[in-house]
Amino acid sequence: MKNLKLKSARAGKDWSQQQLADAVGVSRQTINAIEKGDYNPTIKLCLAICNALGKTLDELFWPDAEE
Amino acid sequence: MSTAWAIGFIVGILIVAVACTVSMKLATKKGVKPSKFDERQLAARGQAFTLAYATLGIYLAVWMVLNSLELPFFATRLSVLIGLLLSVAVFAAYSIFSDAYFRTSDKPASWAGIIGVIGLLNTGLGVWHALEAATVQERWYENNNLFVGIMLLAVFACMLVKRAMDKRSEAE
Repeated sequence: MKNLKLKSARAGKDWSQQQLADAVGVSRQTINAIEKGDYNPTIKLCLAICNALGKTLDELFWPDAEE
Repeated sequence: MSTAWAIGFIVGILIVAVACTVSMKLATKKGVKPSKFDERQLAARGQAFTLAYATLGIYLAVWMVLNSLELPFFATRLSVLIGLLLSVAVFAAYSIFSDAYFRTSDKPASWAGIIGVIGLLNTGLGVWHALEAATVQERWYENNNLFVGIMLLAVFACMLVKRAMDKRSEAE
């Protein structure tokens, strides 16, 4: 399941995948895999991403009802 | 064990240590603290280790059967080395295609260059040994360099294919 919320939050800050990856200390491919839904991050990485983007866990990682 | 063999062994270890240090220096981004693998990479590398372990197990089982039939394809030393090389190649290939082979502080192109050059040198040496050998059996029986070279070139080829795949996906 693609994480479009993360992608749009990142785009909202005008950040590339590499910039977000550098901010949270992972590889660009890991951010790409999370956005594509190929990898489920640990809560630790979810929190780091939320902190970097200034969002809450609900806003980025909680699935919508239709999902 | 002769003194010459012991000196050769120690010098060999020292050369490998120096080569590893120089390689690490060349293939690490400047001004960047060497990083660790991230959590997705560690998970992927765990899968790669599992596959590599299974490969080694299957190879050794097949080798035991062939050995019991007394078919001496290769010297025992080389047979075991081939098993190790196969499992390392499986680990490397799986890690490369899972984007889990390099840390963020590594320079993949530099590593690919180093692996390619060492692979070519080993393959060249192996081919030279094979051409110098007096009998057909001697060509392959203890030709360690040839198999090490082939494994490294296979890993190098995986890196090239992965790079091409990444470039294509970036273009899309």
